[in-house]
Amino acid sequence: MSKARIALVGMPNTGKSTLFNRLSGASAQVGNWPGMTVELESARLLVGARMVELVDLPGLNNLHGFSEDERIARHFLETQAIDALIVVLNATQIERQLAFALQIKRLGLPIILVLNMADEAIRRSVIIDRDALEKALGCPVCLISAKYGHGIQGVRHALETLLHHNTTTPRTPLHQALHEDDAIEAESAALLAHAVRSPQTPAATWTDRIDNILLHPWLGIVAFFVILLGLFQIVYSVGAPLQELLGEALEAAKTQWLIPAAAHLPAPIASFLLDGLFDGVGTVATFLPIILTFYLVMSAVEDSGYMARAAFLMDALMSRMGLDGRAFVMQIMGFGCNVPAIMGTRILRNPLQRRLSMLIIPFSLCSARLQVFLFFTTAIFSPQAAPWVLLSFYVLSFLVAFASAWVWRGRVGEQEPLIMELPPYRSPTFSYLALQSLREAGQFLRGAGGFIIAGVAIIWLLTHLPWGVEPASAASWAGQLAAITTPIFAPLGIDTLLSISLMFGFVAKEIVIGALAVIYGAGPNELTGVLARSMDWRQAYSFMLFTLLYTPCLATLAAIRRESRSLRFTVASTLWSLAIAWLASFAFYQTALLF
Amino acid sequence: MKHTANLDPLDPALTLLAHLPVGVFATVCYIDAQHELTARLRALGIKPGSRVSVVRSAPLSGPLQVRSGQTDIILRRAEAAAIHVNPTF
Repeated sequence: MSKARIALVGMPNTGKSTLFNRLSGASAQVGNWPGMTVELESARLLVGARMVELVDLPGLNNLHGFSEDERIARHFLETQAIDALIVVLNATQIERQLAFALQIKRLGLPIILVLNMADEAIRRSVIIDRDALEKALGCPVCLISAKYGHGIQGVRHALETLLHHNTTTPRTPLHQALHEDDAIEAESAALLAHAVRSPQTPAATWTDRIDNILLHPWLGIVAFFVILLGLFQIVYSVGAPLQELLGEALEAAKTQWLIPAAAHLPAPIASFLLDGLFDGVGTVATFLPIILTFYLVMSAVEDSGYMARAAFLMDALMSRMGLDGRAFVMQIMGFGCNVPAIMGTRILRNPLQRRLSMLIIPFSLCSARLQVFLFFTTAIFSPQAAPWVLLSFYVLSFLVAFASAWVWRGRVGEQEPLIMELPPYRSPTFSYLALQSLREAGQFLRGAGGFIIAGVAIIWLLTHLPWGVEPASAASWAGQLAAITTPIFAPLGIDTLLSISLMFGFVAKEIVIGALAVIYGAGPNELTGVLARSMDWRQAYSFMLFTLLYTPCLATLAAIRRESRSLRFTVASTLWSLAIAWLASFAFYQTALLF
Repeated sequence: MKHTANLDPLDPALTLLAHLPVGVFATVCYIDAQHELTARLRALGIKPGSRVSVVRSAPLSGPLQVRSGQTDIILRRAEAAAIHVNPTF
């Protein structure tokens, strides 16, 4: 039998992606949807005897929506062959979301209605008569909790039955389905009166009590910084010891097994394998525990519902820079990786506001840059000073981003309205978080892995060829190359060897530390000592400042190019960050030399 | 209990959602905005006849937190000034 294609649709914040992950499971191949110019998550899974391709569409407020996200979802519904739709609603909010399901049903495709967060609905005294709904709608209705994995089997069964009896129904063109809004409202109201009971005035919840503090006019701001610091404390205190342990283990493996094993190999090959690949990739690999903890903590914050609160608190500030609270949230999401944050700008409707947001996201201190900063601050600064140095980079990251937005705010024109849901707080479950962060760390590895291996291999070639020269000396290819860039980087206090790693950092910041390990010929555990001997704090800080501000990586540039659909904007944004990076490092280094 | 809305636009008791005191309930009468904005508000549960209240407002003329049924939304004052409501004291 042929492969069936199923799409997940729903409003934002309905737990659609959680259901997607639950249905596809950890084993499913999750990839990007190939049929369109934009990336949609899709997974293959077996339902009964049938292969199913499950596509997760972006959240839709309604089929009339005008944001890029909604345009993508609508385009998909219009142009792709689809066998059935899974419509996900938040059961608690069925009163307002049922009309959306009816609108989707008008498309004429077979649907399964999934009412997620059924546990929360019960707690909020929203009572849903599932059988009555099923009978009135003429489609399967499943009450589930995607977060806890309750009722997922029921969805699979419904899907299996649906595919088994699949009769191809004629589809109603989208524009036709849109002309029935008033009829849908009436139908929704009648259905709700028949099958749903909910309290008219919701009782005060613990979300309200927490918000009294977290959304308090000034306590809320204090709480925001306390939360942010707490998160980094967790990442640092859990990830850092693990990183050290991994570094020691890799170093031990190298001296105990690899060096003896490579003894009989020709010298250039042994050097390439050990000083090139192993040192380079090994040094990057020691950061995996930190990356993993980082993603775990970030997913927990995202799932808790706090991000919308941050948008609420920061909107007044952001509006003065031509942006809104959502741009601030994307800036924080960029702490993980800039690429999804750039893609996240799709929820913005005003294209100029979107570009302004894309212009400042690359200044957000991503986890790859965090690696470089952790390494340098540990190597150069005292344990007492290191956390403050790190904090200064987060502050600078925001300041430069805000200043950039402020400079270009005039280009935006009239701002689009800010209307977004403030979901109740939800405690993340560990099993789901683990699944999520493992998957994200895996994507990070697949995305960066190739770059890292190729990068360290090329660096080894540049620093060790022509064979026989002192590695990374002026006579090596890298040395010759660096001679050209010296005039640019010397006023910043960045020496030739460091400038080579910066060149590779343009491709991806993940390579920087690996490149340095290869350049200095140091193993995963020796590099800190080597760095400490070769530079002072001014040079180190200037190097980090440049690393923070210049282009994050090729992947981010590609994302900006794809999302802005403008080469000119991409080039302009790259030049903007390069110019700021050079000027900031120059100003810092030349000032610091006076002290 | 079904709440009967007063939808008369000339009713002197009418005010704007942007001016509604925190904690006071009101019924939406009409929304004086473009179709797109009305559709988005409708999707989030704010439409003529819905019962709303302002939960809090952000400092420095920041956005409002508006509650309607089981949904809380964030809304700027400028948009809240397009929503005409009838307070139920």
